[in-house]
Amino acid sequence: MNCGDINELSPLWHSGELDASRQKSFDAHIAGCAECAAELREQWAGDARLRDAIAAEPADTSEIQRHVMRSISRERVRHWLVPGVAAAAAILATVLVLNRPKPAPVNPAIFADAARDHTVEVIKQSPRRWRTDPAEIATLETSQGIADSDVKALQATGYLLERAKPCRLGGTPYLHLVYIKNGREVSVFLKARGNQTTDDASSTSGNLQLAAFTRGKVQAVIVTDAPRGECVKFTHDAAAVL
Amino acid sequence: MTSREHEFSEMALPQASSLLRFARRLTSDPAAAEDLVQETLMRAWRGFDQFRGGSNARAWLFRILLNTFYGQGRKGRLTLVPLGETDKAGAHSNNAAFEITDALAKLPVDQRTVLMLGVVEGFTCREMSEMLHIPMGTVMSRLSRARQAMRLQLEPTLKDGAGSRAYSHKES
Repeated sequence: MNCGDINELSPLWHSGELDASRQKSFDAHIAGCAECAAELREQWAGDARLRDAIAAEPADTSEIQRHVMRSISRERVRHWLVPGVAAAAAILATVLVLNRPKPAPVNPAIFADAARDHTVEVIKQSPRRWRTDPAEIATLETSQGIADSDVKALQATGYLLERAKPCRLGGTPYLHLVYIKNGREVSVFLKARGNQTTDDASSTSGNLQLAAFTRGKVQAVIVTDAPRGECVKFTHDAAAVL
Repeated sequence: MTSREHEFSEMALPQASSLLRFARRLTSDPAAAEDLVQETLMRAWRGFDQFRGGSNARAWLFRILLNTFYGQGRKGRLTLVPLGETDKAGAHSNNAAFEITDALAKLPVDQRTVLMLGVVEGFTCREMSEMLHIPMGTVMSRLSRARQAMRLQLEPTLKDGAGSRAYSHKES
């Protein structure tokens, strides 16, 4: 080994990583080279001074340690809590689903009354007190707990609101609305949904097509003497906008 | 405290001071260094399952600190100490110690890192090579350059008196 080798290998000598063979050669060189020996001693002393300087530096980590252990503790609580909360939420959801009012089949009397009303009051145009003024219609809507926005939304089907009157289907108050498009009239009976919902249903009565559904905040019954395809389209569109 | 938390605290918390001193050398201010140590310890806790008992806990923690530092540094959260800036991190009342830490702060971060890890923390060149993901030869040359740079910085001060020749390296 020469002085250059000593310089190159000195980091391994300081860290005690020289293998036995190189350690022997290293030691042999510095034993005979005062300059290299002095150099290594100086490096050693400089390292010691650096260690002392760093060690003299205050390094209070008590706050860091407290914070870390508090965070670990919080993570543990969350770890236990989150599955617990998830389980509780699942139970609650199950309870809500089980307790949710089940949709009821449409009362046949409702379809029968709706078919009769449409036939008598719309097709045969028997004299009734219809409201056509928007303000009066709005008053009827309010009295029956129906949102004006729902009534107007149905015009997105392409049918325009023409008139309205209160009525009863199966003994229950409904708002009878008549929408018209190209001379063809459709009866839409609306009532506030309340807690009870009904299954979507459809039926025919003579040449009448009937449909019923619950959407949003209303239950709707639709009656028309239009072809079945048109009734289906209107019903689909109405259900989509409510 | 669970037994696992106890085991972790016994293993990691005694290293907090060393980690903090090292972190101060990497970051620009004491608060950032404390954040870095805190983040390091939390990451260590989250990865504690992967830590094998009996392996080198200190090396594992310092590796996490370095990974955290370089990860955060890339995002700009932590900044490197600018070359030439005095060491504000460790408030020394001792002038000689201040001169040394000031000289250390002026080294490039790669030299500062190996000097801290190798000289102060006592890691071997092989351990540093694994920690820093660089060849051993690179670790050795960085250490030699770092010792040389410290000598050059401290020589004028040390020639005046106490602690002279604290860092001396023969030109070869």
